[in-house]
Amino acid sequence: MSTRLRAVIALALAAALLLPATVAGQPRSSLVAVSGMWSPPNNFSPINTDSAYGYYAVRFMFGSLLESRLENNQLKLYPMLASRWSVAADNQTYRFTLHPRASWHDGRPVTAEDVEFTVMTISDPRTQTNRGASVAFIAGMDATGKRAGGAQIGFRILGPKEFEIRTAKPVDPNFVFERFGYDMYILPKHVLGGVAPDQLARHPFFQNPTVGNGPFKFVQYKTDQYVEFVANESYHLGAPNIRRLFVRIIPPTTMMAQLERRDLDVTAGGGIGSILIDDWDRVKAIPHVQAVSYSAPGYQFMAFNFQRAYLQDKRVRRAMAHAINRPLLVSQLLKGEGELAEGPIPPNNPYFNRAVRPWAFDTARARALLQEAGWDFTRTLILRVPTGNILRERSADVIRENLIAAGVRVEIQKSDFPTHLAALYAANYDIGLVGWSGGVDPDVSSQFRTGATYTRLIHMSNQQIDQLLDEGAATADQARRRQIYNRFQEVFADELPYVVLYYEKSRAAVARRMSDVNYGVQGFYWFQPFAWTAALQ
Amino acid sequence: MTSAISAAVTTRGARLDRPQSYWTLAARRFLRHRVAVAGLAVLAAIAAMAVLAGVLAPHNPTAIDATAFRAAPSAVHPLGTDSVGRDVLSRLVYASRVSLSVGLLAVTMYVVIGTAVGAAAAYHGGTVDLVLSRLMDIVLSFPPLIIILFAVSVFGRPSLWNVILVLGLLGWPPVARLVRGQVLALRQQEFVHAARAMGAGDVRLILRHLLPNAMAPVLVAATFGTANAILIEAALSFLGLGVQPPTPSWGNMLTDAQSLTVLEQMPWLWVPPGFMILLSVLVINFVGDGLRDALDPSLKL
Repeated sequence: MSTRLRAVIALALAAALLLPATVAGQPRSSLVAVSGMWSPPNNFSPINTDSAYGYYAVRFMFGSLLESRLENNQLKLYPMLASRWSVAADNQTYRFTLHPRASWHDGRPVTAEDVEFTVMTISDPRTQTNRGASVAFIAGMDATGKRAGGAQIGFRILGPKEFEIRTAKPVDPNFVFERFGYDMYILPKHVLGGVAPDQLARHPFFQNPTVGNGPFKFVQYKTDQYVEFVANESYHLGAPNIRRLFVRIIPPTTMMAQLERRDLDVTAGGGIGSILIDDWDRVKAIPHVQAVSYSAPGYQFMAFNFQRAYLQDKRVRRAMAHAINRPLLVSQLLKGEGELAEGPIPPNNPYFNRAVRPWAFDTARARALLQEAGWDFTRTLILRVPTGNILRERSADVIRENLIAAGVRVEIQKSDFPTHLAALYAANYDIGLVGWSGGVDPDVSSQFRTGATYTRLIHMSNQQIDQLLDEGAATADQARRRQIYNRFQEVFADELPYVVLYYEKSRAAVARRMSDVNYGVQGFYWFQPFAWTAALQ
Repeated sequence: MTSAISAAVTTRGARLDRPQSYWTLAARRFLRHRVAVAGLAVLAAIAAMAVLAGVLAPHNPTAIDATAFRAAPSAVHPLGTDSVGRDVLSRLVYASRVSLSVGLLAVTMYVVIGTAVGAAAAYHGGTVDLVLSRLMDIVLSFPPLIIILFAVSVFGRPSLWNVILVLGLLGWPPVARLVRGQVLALRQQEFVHAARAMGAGDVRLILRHLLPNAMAPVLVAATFGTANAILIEAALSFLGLGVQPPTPSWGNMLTDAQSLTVLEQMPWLWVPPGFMILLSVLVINFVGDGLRDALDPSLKL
């Protein structure tokens, strides 16, 4: 008895010793890989996790219908859960066929009913979700992606693995493929079908999502430490080479040290696990690590409070665009890892208008414009700056000096991010710094269309911009759309709803022992972790 | 200052025919404490640096040198430049103003409040004492950093004055306790009874007879409090909630040092402000030690 007990204790101790070793030790095994991100996820709901951190973890376990990726400024689509997809000539009817072997981790097939269940769950007014934009264009939905009472929903099951959706209006097919195909993860109807929609957000499944349909299966989440996954041997696109995968929560300041010690194989990249700019040169010099910087859609901007009469003259706003030394921000603060553009559509986007150049850094021109607009040179503007993003905080010091040089007095006010955002929504500021990141589709109505959620940050309303955005969202023809968004970018640079300071490139790192980890746009990888391989080192 | 007080004391005690006053003796004892004297000298130098910042700083502390971001020390920038190309030495010199003013103003504020509350509690006793003592307990249990974070959100903007105000409004209970204890003990002494018998009113009794004799430990507490206030200001500014940029403070200068690369390869970004915080807190503590020894009533010469 006592011998057996002792043996059990010894075994338990040995196991306890082994377990942390696989996590914190050096991941030299070709079967184990470690990815790192800065903050913990708060749950693993494929339709409602609170942040990009949560979705990063979700994406190992749950698939979307398609994978989308920018290649040579064109959106390319690849199969994930769907193996075939097509669009009818009317640009309103989209048909998808699920992969014949696509299945849940418990062995049940992924069916058209699961997709229908996902769409109906997201669109149920009682469901808490942040995926509304993925379904909002389907017939019968309102602008937030909720079912309008009694309307016919544009979703039809054609067979066990086949379905079609119908949009309310003709739209650009890439818009549908990105929002519906790429941004939406499919839920298991046989697990969640019986749960009342208003209870879904608190359902234990989202803390312990054992039934997914992705290349990796959930094992456990050690709060604030790591999420552990094991390979899904029967994944329909091929069993992963990596058998055990950890997503560890690693603060930004220690990421470099972890890379040096070979404790980390892949950073999560794009704003949730990037390399600090301060550490960038050193990470580039680590021999066993490949540092990768790639264009990303995220940018920082300086917002104007349009409720202030003295900021309503567009010459004043242009003067500030001239006054700020944006090339210096990119060359010095970002060490060259950034790009400039005078608008919200990034330079690597298919709809980017190359003819629109950023206003040049020119203090004299700025001063002349201010004089022309009758600027009161004794007025002091409040520049609100959120804490947290250290580069943005530093840029505020440069912006202040630049504006003072042009004759605009500026007082900086820093606060934590929620306080900052509340002040912006309450129009309690003159100018303020904020960041933004969008998708590939150029529809930026949510930021600039009068009345949309985020126009309330800048308190702006511009008829010409509204008209162009409405026209762009309702146009299916791609050439025509391009014209509309080219025009939008011209108008944007002229009106300057805000000054885009810089597009920051994403700085990621991958251990050289890893292969087939490719970086793409949208903050995420070209996310096919079933293809990742790790070599012994 | 010391001589003025000693003059007053001497006048008051002239008839006792004391050759030397308490304060003269204390000054003599303090001067024999070498570390304290050295500390005082360094502190005086830091104060001079703060006052003469405009003359001493080689550059404008907020001016950006677009050609030199994070440049290593050179002839133009003796301590290098920071992350947005500003001269570190100039910022260091100007930052001493922030630290010293936070220390002095916050502590002056809470010494005044603490002395008033402590004296009132001890002198009146009874219900007044009970209420004021519980108030001290309550305020003492507030975590200052959390209150400051809260104050920042209430006032809408962080600033030097918020930091001073919050530190001043929260720091007084230890002083009040000290004063209360001293006054409670002094209240029973014969000279107080004598003064009352001669017709001295409450105010005169407290201000002329009780407080001057209770001030020694308060002075010591205030000195240590100054060092503490400087540290809290540095911590808050490091978090971005204290002094607002571009005004330099030793704490917000340290925000540059948030990566291993900077810590290892760019010491000019963090060693100077770190050293100044260390130095100022250390010398103030030395002065406090010297004062404590010099003012200890049990050590008579």
